[in-house]
Amino acid sequence: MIREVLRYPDRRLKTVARPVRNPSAACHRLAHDLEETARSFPRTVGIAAPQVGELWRVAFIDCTNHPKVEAPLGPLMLVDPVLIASAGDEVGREGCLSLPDITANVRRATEIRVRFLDLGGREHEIATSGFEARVILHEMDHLDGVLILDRVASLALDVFPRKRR
Amino acid sequence: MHEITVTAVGRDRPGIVSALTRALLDLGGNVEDCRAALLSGSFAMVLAVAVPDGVSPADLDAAVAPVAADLGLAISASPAAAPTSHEGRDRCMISVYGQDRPGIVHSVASALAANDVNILDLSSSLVGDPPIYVLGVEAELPANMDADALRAALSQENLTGLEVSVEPESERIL
Repeated sequence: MIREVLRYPDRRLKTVARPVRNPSAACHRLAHDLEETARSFPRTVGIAAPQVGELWRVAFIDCTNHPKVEAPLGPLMLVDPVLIASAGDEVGREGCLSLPDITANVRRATEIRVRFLDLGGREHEIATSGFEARVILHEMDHLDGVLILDRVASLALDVFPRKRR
Repeated sequence: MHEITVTAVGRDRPGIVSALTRALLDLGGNVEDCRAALLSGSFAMVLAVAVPDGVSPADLDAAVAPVAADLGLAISASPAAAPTSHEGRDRCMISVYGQDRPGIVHSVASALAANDVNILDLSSSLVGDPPIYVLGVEAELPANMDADALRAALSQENLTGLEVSVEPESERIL
């Protein structure tokens, strides 16, 4: 089922979501709704459960066929994801379905390792980089009530970097 | 050569920067730093212009007066202040957003001033659907302060209903 995507200032977007621990039938239904909702927006690569008003730590990411991702991991349904390692940093411009008409320059790690559960409750670990890492980190932020406007790295895309004089 | 700062504001239309810079060029001026912004329907620009010695702000005012009259701009010139050193000072990005109301910029700016924090750059918009007010401030911290301390100082202010975040700015040049 395609769900309505919440927009800020809905307080649920600023709330820390609860861990799932044992994915139930309800969790499976939520996962299905997340995927269906994400796919209903043509350019969307990810969505987190709080964005549809469900305060559980579940996120769906799919960077397949995205021009910026050379070797995507494919569709990912992350339950209770945890960042276990990260390296590098890069500022990139991000948007968000929950903040339409707004983009922000956000600094994110360029390489990450994430541990998560699948819908069967089994633990997995993945490593990815670049744009796909950025998308995963963006969705994981949603699970902690963190939005792109909470991570603004600079006001403008620094074409002319400011020199310290 | 010495520097003069110029500000120009007026109803937006194509041709403003072209006409203004023509007049400055004819005066022997060289545009160094400049920033421009479209604020609602008004175009605003500030410039630091290096001019030959002997050219005063009054001379510059006279040179741009026809441009001001033609394009309906308010233009003023004044001597530029000498740059100060920023060496060794930490910077951070402050982001404040939420439901709009009068006083947001003032609350943030007052808190910064009270803590001797200097605003280097600032930008805000009322944007989105439903509309939210978004304010970004690039700030320079005094020697005894870090981003955590600034975060704590801002949490004391009346910024109820607003999200406030402080990110330290790294040394990396993009």
